[in-house]
Amino acid sequence: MIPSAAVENDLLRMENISKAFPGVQALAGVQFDLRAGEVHALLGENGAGKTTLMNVLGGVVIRDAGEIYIGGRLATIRSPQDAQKAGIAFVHQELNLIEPLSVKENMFIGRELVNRWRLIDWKAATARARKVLADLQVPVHPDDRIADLPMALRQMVEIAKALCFDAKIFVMDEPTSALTVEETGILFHLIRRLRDEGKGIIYITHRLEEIFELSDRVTVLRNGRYVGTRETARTNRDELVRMMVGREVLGPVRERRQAPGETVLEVEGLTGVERVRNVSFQLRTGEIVGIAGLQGSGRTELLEMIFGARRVRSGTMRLKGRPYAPRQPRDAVRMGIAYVPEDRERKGLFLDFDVKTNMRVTGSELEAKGGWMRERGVVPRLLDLIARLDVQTPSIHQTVKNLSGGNRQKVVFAKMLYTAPQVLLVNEPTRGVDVGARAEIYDILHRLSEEGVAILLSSSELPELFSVCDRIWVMSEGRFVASFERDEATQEAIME
Amino acid sequence: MKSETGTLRSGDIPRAGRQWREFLILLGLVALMILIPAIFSPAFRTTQNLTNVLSQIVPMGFVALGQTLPILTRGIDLSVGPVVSLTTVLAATLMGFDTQSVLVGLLICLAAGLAVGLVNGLIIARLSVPPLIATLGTMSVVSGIALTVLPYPGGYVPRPFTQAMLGRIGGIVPYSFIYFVIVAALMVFLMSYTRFGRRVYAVGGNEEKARVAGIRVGPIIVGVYVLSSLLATLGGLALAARMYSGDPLAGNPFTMTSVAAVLIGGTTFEGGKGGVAGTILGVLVIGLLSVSLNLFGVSPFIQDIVAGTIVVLAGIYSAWNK
Repeated sequence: MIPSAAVENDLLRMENISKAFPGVQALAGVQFDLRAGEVHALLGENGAGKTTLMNVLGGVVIRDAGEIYIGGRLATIRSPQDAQKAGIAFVHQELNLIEPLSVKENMFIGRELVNRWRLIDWKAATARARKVLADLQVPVHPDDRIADLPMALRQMVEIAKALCFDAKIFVMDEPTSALTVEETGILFHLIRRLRDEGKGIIYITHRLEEIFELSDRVTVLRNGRYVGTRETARTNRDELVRMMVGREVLGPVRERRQAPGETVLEVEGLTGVERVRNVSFQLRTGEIVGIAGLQGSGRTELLEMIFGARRVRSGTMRLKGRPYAPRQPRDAVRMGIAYVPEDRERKGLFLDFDVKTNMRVTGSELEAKGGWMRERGVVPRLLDLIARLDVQTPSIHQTVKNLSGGNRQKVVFAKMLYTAPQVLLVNEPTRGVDVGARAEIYDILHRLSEEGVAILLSSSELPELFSVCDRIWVMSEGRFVASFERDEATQEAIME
Repeated sequence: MKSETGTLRSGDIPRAGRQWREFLILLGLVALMILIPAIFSPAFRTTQNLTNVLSQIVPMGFVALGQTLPILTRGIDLSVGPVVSLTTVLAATLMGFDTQSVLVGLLICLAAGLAVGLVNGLIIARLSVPPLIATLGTMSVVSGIALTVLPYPGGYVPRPFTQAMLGRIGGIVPYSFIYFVIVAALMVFLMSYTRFGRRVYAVGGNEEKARVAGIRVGPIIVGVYVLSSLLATLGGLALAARMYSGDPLAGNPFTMTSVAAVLIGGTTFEGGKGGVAGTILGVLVIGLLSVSLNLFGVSPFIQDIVAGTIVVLAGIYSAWNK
């Protein structure tokens, strides 16, 4: 199908890549190629396999099958070092910069510049670092410590570092998710320069606007499978959405809109030790309110303060009209507030324990009488929850580690619903969850709100907020800066 | 309103400034620790006392230099105290009167230190045992070996050896202090101008990222514990010379005081931050404190209380700064 000459000219070609994790086929026969001097976007929903594919390329994940050709030659990539030697550089959220060290040290880490006595040549390191940074117009001093730099500058340092290593292929995994509009502009400028110098850039995103602004070609993945590749100039938004989602609409849009009930949670001037500044709002029963905002805007901190997991500096909260000042999460659970955290593997689950233990760990705390766990009636309630949430598990004794992302998330929901909450705080509920399970989670949220639960949903994904929420509040630098009724909100307005 | 790069400026960031400020605070602390006893105690102002201070801080100084490295890599070396003890008993039992046998004795001491360091390093790096557990075990093992070699304080170290350690330049500065200064300077150099030194910082800053950057972490960790142990051996030799004999328990408190000196010197348990230069000042602080407490007739056991308190306070400081 493809002439072999084309293969020779490719910077990178990945063929038939497959990878399975316990319980999930993350990649199934995926192909991808990259030419010199192009930005090739890799598009797909969460769980589509974008990141796994790039981890295969980076040697972080060893593939089960498939070949990788670099510069037309078969490459063996079995470790991050192999990838680095092959000229592949990564720029993503989890940067590879070591925070206590300086910019220049990070740029030459593992390949320190030495003089003829084999001693570190600090002068040469400073000079080269300064030159590369100046070339890229990155306003950073070689002696700055990484820990002191904002995220945007760290990413640029990572790019500069990659150039020091003579990288030819740049993999950028959602690099703009923590950046402001202005910072994004500067990053795009930098990416275009790299492209014009003949580098190949793989740009992973689920934001369509960025694709049309930046990329030359787009490859779409869905559920670990290759869907297709298009020239960006010859495709449009609708086609990409169809390829991405496999149907016309983005998720189930919330149709029925019941009138919200009385106010259940009132927050007045809430200010935290970290980030959150003077936040006030009212939440009513039966409504779903979304909180939009970049990473680091204080969304997580706000939810965790309401849940009693973070210290409150000033401000007051009232729950059903009564003063509410949780000193620990347990207080919140007692009062009928539940929290589904964003990092379920770390904060939401005991991965090595079974479904039963995980589901009752929070609720049984409430039922315990004088320190004794109550056993009677527990299993039927668990089975009921499993049926209601449609958790796919062979039994309640299955270790949670062996469940897929979507089912793990349902276990977290079940754990919180076991406590029969009136207010549900939800943080990034569909991160790392496949498309099908995602729709089910939206459905769970809708059903709960119909039952009268007040839901506060924090998410970095605007389409998610649009399809689920009645109202959307926008948070920036710890403050509420805007609020929208669902009908009047547009993506552009919120990005502002 | 803003320049072309807008919010991306990094100009306001305090560069190396912060580290210098901490260093100056420490220097001021050292000056105070000298000034206060100098004002209130005539005995402190004698050259005899100066000589005493200089030779007294040397054993702990060596040990703390070494301890800096494990702590920089988010580890700890609990076995250094027993290594000091073991060295004193080996020196006191093995060294004969002639120069040649002194040298053989020295070599055996260093070999023992090297062996302990290698065992520590390999257990930690190869078998992935947390440093706290690994060195807690070897601490007990080495202490037991020291007690087996010499179950009670005794033996003797020969004159050629004590002279090489305790002889004085200009009647004031003991040779051992000169050795300490030389070794400390070498360590500062090692940590700032060699690949090994910089990689210790990288591994301490983030082991996983250092690995991804192509650094072979294992050998670095082994090197860290070998150096720690060898420097403890030097500390043991200096202590043996001061005691003119061996003592299977004399070195044990050094584990605690060395950790305290490292923490005072600004190296934190978070790894990758601090260094040998700070430790030298930390050693001076702890050394001068113990001399002053002696001069003012305070029980020496107070020093244990002080060292322990410092370690806990440093831990609190780290936890708060997270």
